[in-house]
Amino acid sequence: MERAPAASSLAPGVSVLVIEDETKTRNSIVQTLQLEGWAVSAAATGDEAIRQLDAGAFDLLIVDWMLPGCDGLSVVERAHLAVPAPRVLMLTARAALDDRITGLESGADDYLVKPFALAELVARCRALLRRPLTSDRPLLVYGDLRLDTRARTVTRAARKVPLTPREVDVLEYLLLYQDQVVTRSMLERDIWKQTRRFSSLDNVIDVQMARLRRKVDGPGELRLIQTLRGRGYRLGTEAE
Amino acid sequence: MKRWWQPRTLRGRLALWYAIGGTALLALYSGGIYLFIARYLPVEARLRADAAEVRRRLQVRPDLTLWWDGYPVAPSAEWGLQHPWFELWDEQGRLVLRRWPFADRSLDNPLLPPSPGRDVVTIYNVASDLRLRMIAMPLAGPGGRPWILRVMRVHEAAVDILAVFRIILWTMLPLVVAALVAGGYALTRYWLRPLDSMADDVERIGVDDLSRRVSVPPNSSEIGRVATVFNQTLERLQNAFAALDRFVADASHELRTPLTALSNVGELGLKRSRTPAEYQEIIASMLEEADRLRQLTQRLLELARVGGGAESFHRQTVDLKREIAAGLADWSILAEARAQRLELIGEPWVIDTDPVIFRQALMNVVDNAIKYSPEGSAISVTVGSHGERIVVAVADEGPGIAEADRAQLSQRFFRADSARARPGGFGLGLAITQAYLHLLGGALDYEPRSPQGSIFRLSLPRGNGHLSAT
Repeated sequence: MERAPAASSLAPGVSVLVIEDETKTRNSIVQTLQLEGWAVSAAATGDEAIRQLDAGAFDLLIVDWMLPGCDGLSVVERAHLAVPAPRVLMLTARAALDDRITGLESGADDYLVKPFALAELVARCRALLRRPLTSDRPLLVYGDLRLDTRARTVTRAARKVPLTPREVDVLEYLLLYQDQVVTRSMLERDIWKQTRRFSSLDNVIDVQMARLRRKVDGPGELRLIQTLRGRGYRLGTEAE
Repeated sequence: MKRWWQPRTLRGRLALWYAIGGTALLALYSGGIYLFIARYLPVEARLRADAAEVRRRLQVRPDLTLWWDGYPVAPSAEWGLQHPWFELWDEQGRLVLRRWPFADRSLDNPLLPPSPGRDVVTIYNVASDLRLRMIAMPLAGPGGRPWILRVMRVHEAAVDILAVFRIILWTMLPLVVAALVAGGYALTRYWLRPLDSMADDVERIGVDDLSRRVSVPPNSSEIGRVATVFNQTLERLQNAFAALDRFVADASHELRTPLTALSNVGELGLKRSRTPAEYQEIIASMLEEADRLRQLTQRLLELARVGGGAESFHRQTVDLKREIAAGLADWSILAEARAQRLELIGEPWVIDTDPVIFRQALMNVVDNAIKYSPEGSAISVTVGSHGERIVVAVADEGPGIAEADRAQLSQRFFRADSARARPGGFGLGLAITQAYLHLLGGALDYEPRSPQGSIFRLSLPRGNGHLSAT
């Protein structure tokens, strides 16, 4: 599970409404977001969601595109009546690019195609809540690992780590999401900028990460880049 | 709405045409003949014979006396029925002589002088029960004066014949039309019978039984052609359905493998209580299989979208070589990991195509080349032109494709024996590449390389492509 942010950059009091008809998916999303320390409400149908929207204000909506009762689109339209309008993350089982565009045009701020990793869901939510982990901090640090975001240089303890530009991008991303799971599809989307997911970059990413690890984690040093089987990668110490 | 005059069947329509059109045409034709006969035959011929006889036997002397066969013309009362009936009119329209077997006073209507001209035919009602048919023609009078001779006969005789003709027409016309309709209907029915049996055949063909064929009539009529074409379409349809069935079977099989692993690992994990570390291991293993399922469904979806034509593409003018170089940059890391040399050579073509889709098509092939080529070997990507096509050739030093397998290369889920030994592939890459290239109007070809290796050629239409100046 995600670890609850100890000294999280997130302000408390974030309220989220999850609208998803599939029980298992809904429960796992709710629990994941609760671990983030957010106030999470859930609805199984579009009509129920609209009742909840009438009752209170939300910062973020997570809406399944296909819902029984009134569909996701109507929920989004209703949500946009509120002031300030909540941010909307659309969940869709359709991988079609055109559907994604329709979703975004209809007022959704972002989308996730099912199946997705919960880690990616959290990352997207943070981005939408304008509490992104990107920062203009000149220096990103984890233990003795330091990344200068301007000069694009990396050092481990006193050792200078020579990295390619792409490797610096990946490491910066891992440092931003330190102690959290970064999935391959997050890297695909944010680092390789592959918006249309065609042939999988999984192999490329795996090899890239192996090389990055060899360079960052020198012999005798603490292993910082963890591979989580079936999930992705995490920058952090061995134990979760 | 169908009206009564719009019969449902072709033969019904044809029969209707025969009935209406045939009747109208026949009526017109026989009417014309009737009118012609009524006007000229057969009295006409006899009148002319009479006129000729009069001209031969009548003589007009210069002293205005009239002679018949060398004797003065007999008076009216003695003018027998054996002689032709005639009148002579002078140039001022005055009657010079009339010889016929009637008394002038018994006429209801006095005869009018003939109008001048050649062969003027008139029918004249001289009494309620008598009609005369006359023909008038010029005759040289004394001193060459333009007299007119008019011969006449009773009209009745001709009318009798016409009446018979009319009866014949009225009785024959319906008979002929009936024969026409019946014949047309029967013939059409006979000619169109193959169409009926074809319809019966087609009716029996269902989705479950696409192997049935329509019987092709022996003669090479239009219907035979329709049947042949229909059978060809059925053939293609059957093949498409067979391919679909095979695809569904293959896809289910491929999906079942990770699913089995997923449920087995979970089941085993719950058999006894375990340490947290063991549970983590089990869950991670299950997630791996779930990820494999995700990848497979994603690729299947991709294939279905491209193959089904749902994929939209956006043409733009691109420097193909530069585009390929950008794609290879991502993959070069894989080649490096296997100590392979990945090089891009050739001409800098600028063409109109969808760079994203082309890159995907190419990278599937490059991915295969890296995967199946031995470590330390070289892989080259060459851009060039061949006729009206731009060809991107990917050459590797891998094991190549056995000749028996080449035909199935781009079939879904096909994996060569050499590839089966390796985990991770689904056998969809080349099928997807081919579908993408098809979308762009291109094609995928394979050629073995000597002494060992493969060359995959991705060709694109050149369009108005040109070599980049740089």
